[in-house]
Amino acid sequence: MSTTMTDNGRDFDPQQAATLLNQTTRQARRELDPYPVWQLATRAATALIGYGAVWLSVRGQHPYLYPTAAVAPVGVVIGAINLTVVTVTRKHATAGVTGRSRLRPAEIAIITGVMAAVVAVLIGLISAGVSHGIVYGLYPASVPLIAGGLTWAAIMAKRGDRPEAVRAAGIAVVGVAALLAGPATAWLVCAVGVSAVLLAGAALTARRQRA
Amino acid sequence: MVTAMTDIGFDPVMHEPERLRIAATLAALPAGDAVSVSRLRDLTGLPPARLDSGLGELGRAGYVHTDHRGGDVTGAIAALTGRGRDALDRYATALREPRRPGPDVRAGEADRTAAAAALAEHYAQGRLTFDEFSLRLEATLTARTHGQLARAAQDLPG
Repeated sequence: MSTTMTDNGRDFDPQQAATLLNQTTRQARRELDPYPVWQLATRAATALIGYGAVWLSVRGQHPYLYPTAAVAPVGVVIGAINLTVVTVTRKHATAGVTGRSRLRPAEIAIITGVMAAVVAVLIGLISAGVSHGIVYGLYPASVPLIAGGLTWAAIMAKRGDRPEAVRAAGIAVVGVAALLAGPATAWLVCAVGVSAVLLAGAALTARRQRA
Repeated sequence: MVTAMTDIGFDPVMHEPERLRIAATLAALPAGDAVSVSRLRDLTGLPPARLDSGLGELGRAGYVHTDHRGGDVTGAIAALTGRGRDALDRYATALREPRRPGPDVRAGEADRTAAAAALAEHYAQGRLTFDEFSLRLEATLTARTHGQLARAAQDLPG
């Protein structure tokens, strides 16, 4: 038999070794992945509910005005859930880890700066009296996805994190598709598109972890 | 140290359950990343002494780099080196390759039956005369080791 007597006195069969290697690799990947399957699936659900709620509140408006105030609590809750889920999973995955996996302060500053610029431009557009269809529809639905998605994709591509770079680029593409839709339909495009990208990411992650 | 059976072709440093668990866990990190020894202990489930010993062996082989920043093992961080990643890849590849038992390893009834069936197939394909087939079949059915089974089929393909 092709067993080996190891220094701890146990026989170590190659089949046992292959099983141990597979199990350990899968377990470690699950534990160290900052974007686990359940996190991506949760974010997909929250995107569907959040953007979907906004779409339901504006779909009957002719002419387009803005999302109703009733949607605000939904947005706050969805945002809080997203932030909590991402923070908790990332903190768990990177606990004790140093190096590339950790976000650098410069990267956090870049993404924060881009999103702040998106908000600043929106405020400028509202002040300039731009139409409701743009400032309360097309712009808030699509521009954060385009700007945030492209910035994040660039950061992740530079780090060599291809799956996350592709996911972020997919989010930006959804933003472009929303921009091409009408102000009300843009929210529906975001709801379906963002959750589809995140669910596809979850499926690919699950497949990668099983491989 | 590993005591025996390097003839089966596995890297003796990797071919040990605890060291394999440590190396496979470190390999799940992106290249260039390191992990604290305390987190590595949680991930592998190994007791501190075993983990320390495994890291030491892997380190001596140049497979793992341990940086004792905190001055003791609890403040240390560990990472798989490029050499360690290559060794683990080679080891995983070797595990996937089918292995033949050594020539002195005892053959079982199933081994003799399979070898006899293979001989019959060679006879049916015209590679053996009836006399050759009869002689080799007898040698196969009375073979005690895998070496004897191999000799009965040594000039045949497959």
